[in-house]
Amino acid sequence: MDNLETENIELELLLKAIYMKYGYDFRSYSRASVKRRVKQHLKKTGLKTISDIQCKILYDKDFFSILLQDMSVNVTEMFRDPSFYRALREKIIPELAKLPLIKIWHAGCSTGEEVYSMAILLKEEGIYDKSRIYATDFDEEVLSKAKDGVYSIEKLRDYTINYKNAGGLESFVDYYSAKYEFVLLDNSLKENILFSNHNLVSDSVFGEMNMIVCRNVLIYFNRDLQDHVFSLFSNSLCQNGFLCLGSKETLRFSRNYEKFEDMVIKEKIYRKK
Amino acid sequence: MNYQYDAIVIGVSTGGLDALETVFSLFTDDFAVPVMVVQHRGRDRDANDFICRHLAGFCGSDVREAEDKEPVRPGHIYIAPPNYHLMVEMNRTLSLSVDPPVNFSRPSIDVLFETAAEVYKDKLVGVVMTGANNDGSTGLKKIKRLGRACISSEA
Repeated sequence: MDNLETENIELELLLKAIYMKYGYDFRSYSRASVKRRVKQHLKKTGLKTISDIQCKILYDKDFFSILLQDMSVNVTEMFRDPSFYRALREKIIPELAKLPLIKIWHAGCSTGEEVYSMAILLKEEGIYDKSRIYATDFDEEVLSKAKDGVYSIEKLRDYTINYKNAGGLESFVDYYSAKYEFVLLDNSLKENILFSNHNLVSDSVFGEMNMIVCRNVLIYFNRDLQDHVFSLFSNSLCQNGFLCLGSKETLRFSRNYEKFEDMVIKEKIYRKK
Repeated sequence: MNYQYDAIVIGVSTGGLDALETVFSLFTDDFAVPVMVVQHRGRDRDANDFICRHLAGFCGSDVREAEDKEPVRPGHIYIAPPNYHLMVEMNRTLSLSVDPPVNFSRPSIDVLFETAAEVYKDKLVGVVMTGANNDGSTGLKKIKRLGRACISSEA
C-alpha cells in the first residue's frame, strides 16, 4: 500500500531530523510505538503529514518541545508493581546489606517516584545510610520534578495501597507532608540521592554499581538498542551485582544474557556472574 | 484454516474467555499460524498464567503471555499482558508499551490490529469478538484496507 510506505519514509526522515537538529536519538526506539505517538501528535496539531511536522520542528523550537513531550513516556508511580519491591525486600536487600557501601543506579528515573520508593525501602531495612542512589534521566524537565519530590495528592490513595502491598513496615504518611493538592516527600529521603542527566542511548559508564534498576524504559527501545544498553549495564555492574528490569521485560533475547544468571525470574531480577 | 496467512490477530472483551475457547478448539492439530490475542481484563497479573494454561488445553499451539521483543513464531499463541499494549514490529517481533489507554483499554485491540496490519498486510486475519466496546473497529478497518479477511461478532 503506497501511503504506508511513504509514511514510513517520512517517519525515518523525521527521526533523522530530530537527531541532527536537537541531538535526541529516537531512531532506535521501538518503531511501532514511535509511529503511534507521532501520528497522535499529528492529529493533535492538525497538520496534514509527518513531513509537515518535520518542517515545523526544524524552525520552531517550542513546537519541538511539544513533540518531545508527546514522544516521551513518563508513566510511573510509587511502589509500582508492589511484588517487585517485595522480592527486593526479601531476596535482594539481605545480599546488599552485607556490603560496606551500596551503590544503586536508577536508570531512566522519570519524575522520581520509583527512586523515592527505593529510598523508603532502604530506610526501613536500615541500610539507607550506607547507600548511594544515582538517579538519571535524559529529560531535564522530569529530572527537575524528581528533585522536588512533589506529587499530586490524587495519587496518594493508590500509592498508599501499593506501599502496603510492597510490604511497607511503617505508615506511608510518615514519609510525606501534605499541602493543598500536593504532597511533599520528606527531605531525609533525598539525602543520599544524586539526580543527574544521563542518556542511555549516547552516554557511557559512569561508575561501578551494586544494583541497577531500569524498569519499563527498555520496552521503548528496539532490540539493538536494548542490547547496547544491556552491555552498558553489564559494564557498570560489579560482579554479583543485580540488574532489575520491568515485569514484562527480559534479558533472554539479548547476547548479554549469558553474563547473567536468573535471581528472581518472576520479577526480572538478574545477577551478574 | 488457509495456510496462505502469516498471522491471526484476535480481540475479545472482558469475559470473552469462552469465545477464545471456541476459536481455539477450531484449530486443527497441524495448525501452526501464529496468533496474537488481546483480551480486555483487569490489572490482575497472576490470572494471565491461569488463562494461558487453560487455553493451552484447547489446541495444539503453545499459549503464552507475550514478552517484550519476543519473535513471532509458528505454533505459538501470544496473549497480551494485562495493562500493556501489544504491538507487532516490522521485523516480526512483539513489543509492549505502557502508553495511555486507547478506547479506555490497555491492552487495546486497535493498537494490536493496526500494527499487525502494517506488518502482515494481506496475509493477516483479524477476529473481533466484543460487546459494547468500540475497541477493535478502527483496527479491523485498517486490516480490511491493507489485508484481506476480517471476522467480527457481537458477544
